[in-house]
Amino acid sequence: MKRILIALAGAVLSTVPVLAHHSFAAEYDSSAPVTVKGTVTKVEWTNPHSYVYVDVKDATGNVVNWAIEGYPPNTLRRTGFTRDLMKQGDTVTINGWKARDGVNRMAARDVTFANGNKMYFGPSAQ
Amino acid sequence: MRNRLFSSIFICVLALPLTAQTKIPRTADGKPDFSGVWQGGGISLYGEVGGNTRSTAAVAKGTPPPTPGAKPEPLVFKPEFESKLPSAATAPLQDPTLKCLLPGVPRIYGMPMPFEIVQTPKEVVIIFESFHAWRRIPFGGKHDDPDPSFMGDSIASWDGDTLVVDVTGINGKTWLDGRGHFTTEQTHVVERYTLNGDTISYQAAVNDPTTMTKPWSQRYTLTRLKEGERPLEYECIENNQDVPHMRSRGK
Repeated sequence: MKRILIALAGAVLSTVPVLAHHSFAAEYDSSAPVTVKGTVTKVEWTNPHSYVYVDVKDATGNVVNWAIEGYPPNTLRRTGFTRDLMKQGDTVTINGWKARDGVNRMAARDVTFANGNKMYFGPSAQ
Repeated sequence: MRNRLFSSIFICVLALPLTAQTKIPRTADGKPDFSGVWQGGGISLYGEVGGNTRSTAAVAKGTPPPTPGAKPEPLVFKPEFESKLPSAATAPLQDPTLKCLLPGVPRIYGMPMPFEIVQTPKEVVIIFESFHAWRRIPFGGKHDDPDPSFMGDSIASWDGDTLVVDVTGINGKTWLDGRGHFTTEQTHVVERYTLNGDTISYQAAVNDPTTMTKPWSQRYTLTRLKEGERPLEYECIENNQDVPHMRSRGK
C-alpha cells in the first residue's frame, strides 16, 4: 500500500503541468473540476492564452457569462484546432477546472461541439 | 593478466559498433549539424494522442512526444538568499515570465514551444518561438562587453562532437526556476549540446559565487520536430490577463 502511495505521489509530482506562461496551480484549482454547457458569445484567439466566453444558465435560470482559458493559438493550430472551428453562437460543452478567485472563470481541457466532435482546448491539470 | 587483457579487448569490440551506430547529420566540415526545429522541455504540445487530428504527427517519425526534462537537482542558494525567496504560493506572481519578460538561459529550454537552430561554420543562431527570443552565438572569439541582457552574451566552441556555449553578461532579471532562484550579473552558464540524431541531450552548468555554494546543473532532452514545422509568432503581452487574475484570487 505504502509503495502504491509513493508511486502515486511520484506520478503527481512528475506530471505537474507546466504552462508556457504561468503555473496552473497559481490560477486554477485542479481539485475543482467543472463542466459548463452554453452558447459561445466571444472567442479571443490571443496570446499568451486563448479565451472563449460562454453564456451558461445557472441552477436558478440566470444566464452567467463564463471566461474560459485555453492553449495559445500556435498550440491550438498545431493540434488541429483551427481558429474557425469555434464561433459565436455555437453550443458547446467544456470540461476544465475552476479559477481560484471564485469568479465564473475556468481553464479548459476539452470542448465538445453540438455535432459530438470533441477537441482538446487546453492542457491537462493532472 | 590474460583475463584482464581479454576483458579489455571484449569491451573495445563492444564499444566500437555502439559508436558507429550513432549516426548523426554532419556539416561539410564534419561537425555535428544541429540545424533544424526542436522542442524543448516542459509539457508536450503534441501529446494529445488520440485527440486532435494533427497531434503527434507533428513530431518527426520515430520520435516520441517530448517529455519533461529529467528532474533537476535541487537548486539551493546560500542561506541569506534562500531565506528571502518568495514562498511557493507567491513565487508565480513574482515570476518575470508572468509579465512576458524573457526567461533567460537555461530556463527558456523548459518552455513548451519550438525553436529553430541555424548552424553555419561561423555561428549558431537560435530563433525561439517563446517570448520572441533569439540568440546569435559566434564560434570562438571573446565575449563582447555589452550592457547585460536577459539572454546574455554567448560564445560557442567544440569539445569533440559536443557543442559548448559559454554564457555571461546576464542582467540578473531572470530566474533559473519557478521558485524565484534569480540570476545576477555574475551568473555564468556553460551549456553542452550533444546530438543523438532526433534528440539533443542538453545540459547547463550554472554557477554564481554571489548566491550559490556550488554549481547547479539543469538537463533537458530536446526533440526534433517534423520537416516543415517552424517557430511562429508568440506575442505574449497581447492579452495577458494572468497578473490581475492571480492577484484577485481569494478576494
